[in-house]
Amino acid sequence: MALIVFSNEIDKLIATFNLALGGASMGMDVVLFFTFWGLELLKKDKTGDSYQKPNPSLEKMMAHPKFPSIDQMVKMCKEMGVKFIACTQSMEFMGLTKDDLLPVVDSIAGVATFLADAENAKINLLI
Amino acid sequence: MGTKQTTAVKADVVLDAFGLICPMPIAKTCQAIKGMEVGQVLEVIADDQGIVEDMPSWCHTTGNEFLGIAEDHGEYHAFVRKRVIDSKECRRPPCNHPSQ
Repeated sequence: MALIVFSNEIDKLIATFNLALGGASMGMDVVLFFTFWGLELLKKDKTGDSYQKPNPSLEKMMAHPKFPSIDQMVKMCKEMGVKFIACTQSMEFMGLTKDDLLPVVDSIAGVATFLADAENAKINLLI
Repeated sequence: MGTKQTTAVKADVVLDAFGLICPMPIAKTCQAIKGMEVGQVLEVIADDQGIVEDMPSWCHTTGNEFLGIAEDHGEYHAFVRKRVIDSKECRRPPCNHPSQ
C-alpha cells in the first residue's frame, strides 16, 4: 500500500495512520510519501500549530485517552515497519533539509521512488 | 458472518484491547501473535464493535485461523489460532531504497 500524505489536517492524518497501521497489521508493505503540507508532521520543530485543527467538537473528542495521538500512531507505524519517505521537491519549496526532519524518516526521495513503490502496490491513495 | 459463538476454546495468551478503538485492536493483535507459537490460541478482549468483522478479515488476510467471537454486554472475546510459521504479519518491508 502506498499513501501520499499531502495534508496536515489532523482528521486526514488520523485516516492516513489508521490505514497505515491497519495495512501493516495485515502484513502489507506500507509506504508513506510525505509531500507539501504532510511534511509538517516530520519537522523537528513542529508545534501545535503545525497541524490544521478539526472543528472544536471533534478536537474535544480526540483528546479522550481512548483515541491514540498522531505521535503515538507514528511510533507504532515505525515499530511495524511502515516506511516514511520525504519528498525532495516539497522540501525545496519549504526550505527544509534532512537535518530539519525527525529520525522517523527512512529516506528522502522524489517521484520515481514513489512511483516505483506505487506501481507495485495494490492500494494507492492521496490523502 | 464471523460471529459464531465460542466459549469452549482455551486461550494461551490473552490480549486486553478493551477501550481501544480501530485500528488498535487489530494492530495489537498483530503484535501479540508475533510472539506466540504456531498452534497457540490468542484471546482478544475488546469493546470496539468493529472487531466482529475485522478479526475474521485479519485472519483471512494473514493466514491465521479465526475460531470465533463471543459477546457479552458490549464486551467481545475473539479467538484466533496462530497458523502461520514464518509470520507474514508485521513483517518489515523488503523493498529498500538507495540510501541517501
